[in-house]
Amino acid sequence: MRVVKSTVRPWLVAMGLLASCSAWAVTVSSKSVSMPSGESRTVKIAKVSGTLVVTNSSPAVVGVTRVDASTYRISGSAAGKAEVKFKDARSDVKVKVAVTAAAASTPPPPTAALPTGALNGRLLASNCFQCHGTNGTGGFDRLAGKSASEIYGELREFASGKEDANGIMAAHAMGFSDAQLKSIASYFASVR
Amino acid sequence: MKRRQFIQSTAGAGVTFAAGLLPFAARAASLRVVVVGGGMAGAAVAKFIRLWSKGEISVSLIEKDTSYVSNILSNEVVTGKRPSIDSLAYSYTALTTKYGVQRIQGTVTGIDDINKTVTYETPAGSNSVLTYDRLVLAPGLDFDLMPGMTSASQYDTTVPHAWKAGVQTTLLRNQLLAMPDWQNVVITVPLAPYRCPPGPYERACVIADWLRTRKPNSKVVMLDANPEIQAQKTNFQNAFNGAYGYRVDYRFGCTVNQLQLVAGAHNVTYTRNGITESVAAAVLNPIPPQRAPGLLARSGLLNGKFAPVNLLTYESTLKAGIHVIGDACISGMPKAGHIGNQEAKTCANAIVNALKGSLYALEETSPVLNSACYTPLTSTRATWLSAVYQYTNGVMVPSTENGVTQPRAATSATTGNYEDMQKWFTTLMGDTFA
Repeated sequence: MRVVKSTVRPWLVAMGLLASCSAWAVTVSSKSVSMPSGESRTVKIAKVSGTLVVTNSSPAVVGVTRVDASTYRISGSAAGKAEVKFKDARSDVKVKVAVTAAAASTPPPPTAALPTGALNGRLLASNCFQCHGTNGTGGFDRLAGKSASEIYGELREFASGKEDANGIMAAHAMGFSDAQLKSIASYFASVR
Repeated sequence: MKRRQFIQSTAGAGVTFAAGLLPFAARAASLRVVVVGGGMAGAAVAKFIRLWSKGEISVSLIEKDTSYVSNILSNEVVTGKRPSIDSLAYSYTALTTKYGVQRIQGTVTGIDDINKTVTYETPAGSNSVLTYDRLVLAPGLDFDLMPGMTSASQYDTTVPHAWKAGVQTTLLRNQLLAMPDWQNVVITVPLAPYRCPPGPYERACVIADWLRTRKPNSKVVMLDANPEIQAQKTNFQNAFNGAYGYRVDYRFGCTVNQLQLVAGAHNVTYTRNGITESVAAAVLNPIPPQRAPGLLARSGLLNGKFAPVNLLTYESTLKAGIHVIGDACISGMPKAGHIGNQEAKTCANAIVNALKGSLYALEETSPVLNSACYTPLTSTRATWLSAVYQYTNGVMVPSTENGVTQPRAATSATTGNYEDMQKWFTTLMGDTFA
């Protein structure tokens, strides 16, 4: 495997290129929204530099869908709090979301809002298939059907270096963000 | 990655959010993907499009060979650790019977990206045409002739590169067995990028380990065109310097000028630091410079030697509707089987999402690619190398999550790693072909 050894790190060059042509940061129309469960709100964003990465701290509480290049819909699916982060090449902006219990007359949440569960984490979790079998059904350790909290707990142990810090699983887990580890854990918990 | 490639791929990906793939729900009923090439990337993309679309997308896989022979672990055939190359053959049976992939034996001769057709020649020599909605090319690599060679057939008969496992792997094995003691085995390494960055150094190690007991007065000489070892530098340096009971004569910065081919007594002339030298080789294993196959060049898909792609979808940045995955594309990541498998899944996921008309979920706007590879340094000990790449501004860069530098390597070669290597290999091949 080839290691990038150049002192000119490609991602720094990339950021430099983008910075030189767009010296601004992401803005959002609202930094906090609240809604009853089953309803949704839209957020407008602007001034994106490069690729926008959207992360959702609590997929169980809200869903996030892209309406168009400048509009995202945040849908409440259960009472609770969440944070939706919009991150681009130069900055990131957080939107705090509060979801209250559904009003009695509110219709159930739309099912089409976000492809949930398996589809969501599918690609991310497929990084594990090469050693743990397609859908986590074999290989080094069976992952399919374990609880999300058990898998996430193990991944955190590796990512923090508490378990086998020089081993190959630590090397893998350390490369993922916390939100990505949670998504992987949720995926395998959903596989039957 | 070469700087030139990098700038091009960045320019191509500047737009990127959900770019390129429009939903084709309107044509869902007859949607067809044609995959060209049945190696690690091609087999995986065929499998995962069928699996993730729940059979809603028809997939045809065109491959000229009847089975795939794994490059991974093929150095075990070179040293005789595996009794024969047959143990590394993978059939397409499971793709057909378990996943419903249509298997077509043939060689693709032309691509028409306007009318969306591919033309292929059957083993019987007749031409057929297939139409596609999306075309995925996983063609592997072609090998250049080394200076002094007159025909690619010399690789099959005289100086095997064995960088595509098969008859050449067995030939290299037989040449080593037939070689008298007190000789040189010479391996040449091309400038990066080439397939499997640690591969040439792994081969040098396991052959040197084999010579240690079988031909104890012979040695491995490596002529590397690169300025340094291209992967796991510390582990290989330690091995070359005797940490595992053998030594490798490693020479870097070598430009090969000429191969003089005389069976059993070849000679390699090369220039290093402005000085021209030559070395005799009883067995010569030239690993040639590599490029995407001529089909891609003729189809206008290349920028230099390889195909530029959008790394969210692996769609060509030069021709719409055509995806290029595996060793032939410019991904900025190592050209390797484990990575080809994951590039295939990224491409499959994008194609399936486009069919379903669904929006990108959070990871899919920023795919992660996780690589692992194990490397034997002796017949019983192996190391590993792991790297996690995160999509950032249109390129895949080594992750810096958790304040940790990627890639990471095993601290030494162990017997436990050797056992893990076999399990990794078996599971990886199952994830790809079964």
